Amino acid sequence: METAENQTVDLPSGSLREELHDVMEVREDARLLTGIAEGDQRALSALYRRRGSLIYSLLVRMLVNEMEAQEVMQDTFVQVWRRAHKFDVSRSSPMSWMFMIARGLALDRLRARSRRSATHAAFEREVASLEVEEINGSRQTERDELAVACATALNGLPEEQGRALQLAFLRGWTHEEIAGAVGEPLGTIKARIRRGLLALRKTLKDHHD
Amino acid sequence: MTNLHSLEDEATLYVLGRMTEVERAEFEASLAESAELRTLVRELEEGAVAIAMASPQRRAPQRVWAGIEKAIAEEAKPRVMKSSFWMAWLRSGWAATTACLIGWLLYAVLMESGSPKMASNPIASEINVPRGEGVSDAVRTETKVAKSSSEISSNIDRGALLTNLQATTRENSALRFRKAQLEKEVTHLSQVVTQQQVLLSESSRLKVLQLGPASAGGLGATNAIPSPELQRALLLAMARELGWLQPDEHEKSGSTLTNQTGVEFVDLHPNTNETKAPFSQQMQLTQELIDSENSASPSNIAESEIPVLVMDGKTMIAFDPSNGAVPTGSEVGFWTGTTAEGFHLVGSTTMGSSTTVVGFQPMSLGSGGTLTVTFHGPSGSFNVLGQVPLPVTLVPLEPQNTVP
Repeated sequence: METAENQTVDLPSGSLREELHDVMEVREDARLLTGIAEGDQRALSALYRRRGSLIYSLLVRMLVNEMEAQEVMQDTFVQVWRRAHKFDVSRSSPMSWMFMIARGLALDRLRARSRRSATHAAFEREVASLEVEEINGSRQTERDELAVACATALNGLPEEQGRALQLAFLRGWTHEEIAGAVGEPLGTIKARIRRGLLALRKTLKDHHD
Repeated sequence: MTNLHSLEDEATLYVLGRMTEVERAEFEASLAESAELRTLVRELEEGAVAIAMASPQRRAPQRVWAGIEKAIAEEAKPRVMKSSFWMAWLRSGWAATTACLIGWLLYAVLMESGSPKMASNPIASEINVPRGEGVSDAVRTETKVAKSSSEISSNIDRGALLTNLQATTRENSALRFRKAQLEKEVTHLSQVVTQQQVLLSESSRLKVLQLGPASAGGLGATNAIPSPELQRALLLAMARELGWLQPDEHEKSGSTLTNQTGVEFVDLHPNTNETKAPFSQQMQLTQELIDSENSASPSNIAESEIPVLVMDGKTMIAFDPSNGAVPTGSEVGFWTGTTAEGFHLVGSTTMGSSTTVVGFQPMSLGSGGTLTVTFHGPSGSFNVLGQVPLPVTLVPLEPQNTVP
């Protein structure tokens, strides 16, 4: 007979555990944002420690300049401090919300730089720069399982789709600019980007599963 | 399908931040109404997050967090400071003081508005109000005070301006004076430099002259070539001046005995006292010079046989007794001065049997003069050998070291 002490408790397997983990992460982030909205600086500090690296990594990848990335990082968390009371967990996850703030500020910086010529040559140059960063980044830093999964998913997309997606998201190219650079219809580019985002999302979901 | 695609397109644009403010507001209004749309947006956002999380991870330096803390702290400060300022203001007596002042002003205005003339212009200048019309004394006084204070302040300003102007004028005058002084100094220095350059160039020049007749004006310019013996003597004199030829023991002791070179060197040293020739000699010398000037042809003696070397301001005259110009045993005199001013005996030497070079070292720099060379022959005759221009004025020298 198995006593309570002898009972083996099976922990939730793979996907469920991952899902629970993700849910707990989201809840913790949301809790911290609530604290920030109430003026709790310790909550901001905690959120910075939890998500700062991810946001900083995104900014470095977008701006390709550590100094600018640091400045935008600072601006991002100041904006988080100011706008935390506007965050609505029903609309988006805390990470998405913070990523979009950071991305928006980074795109402002990119636009403030010299005007981009949306030529095919410029398109190729940007794509090449993204690839170089990828290689260098993987050598330098540790990556957790989720980050590896994301990178794998991104690399697993069809080449044209992955390129268009990264330029649109990381470098702020408009659909029209991408269409003009690669010489394809606007509708094709729009669909390509949309499907790429959904495909990534699905891949992550499948990873959990 | 089309609607779905356009909704999906809009959702993508929304997630990528590609909407205008108006479009965003409209889409968010749609979001609020459609759960399906919210789900789509959420899924697209998660895909975008995946792109972000695929970036190579880096850690921001510590100073980034320090900057965030500082920015947040600065945001919090002003609100606190502003409220504390006003609270302090209220707690202090300033509020009461201001209230009293406002009350007084209102009283003045009301009193003033009681007069019909001043109704439209309660605080008017005194000028616009005729006397005796019932203007409030308080307003008049206030206006007077205001005017006088403004006058005082304008007077103070004018006074300060005047003082500044005067100080500036004085400064300008001093600067102009100083400028004039400096210009004078520059001019003087230029003159001195020019003079020095001339003198240096003069003294550094190596000139070979001939002891010319008085009729030639003592210019000494000639094409006559000295004899080999005299050339040798001059070259040795040059070497001696340059220090290449060390004086022997006899020369050092003051005598001028023949040295190894076979040339006698006589250096006439300066005399502290002027030695003016006796009157008779002066007359004789003068007469001789006059005769030389009047002579149709220059003296054969002076023309060709007595070269003069001027080097570093020192004048060296070479005599060769063998050519008959100055026989052995003749006493050769060296004079400076003019007929008008009188002649001064600088020094003399008795000609020996060897070639002799007589040198004069000037005492000071100055304008040039003329050196007149005479000799008393063994027979007692007195002749003027010639004259040579000097680069500098010679002070009278002591006759010394005559050859026995």
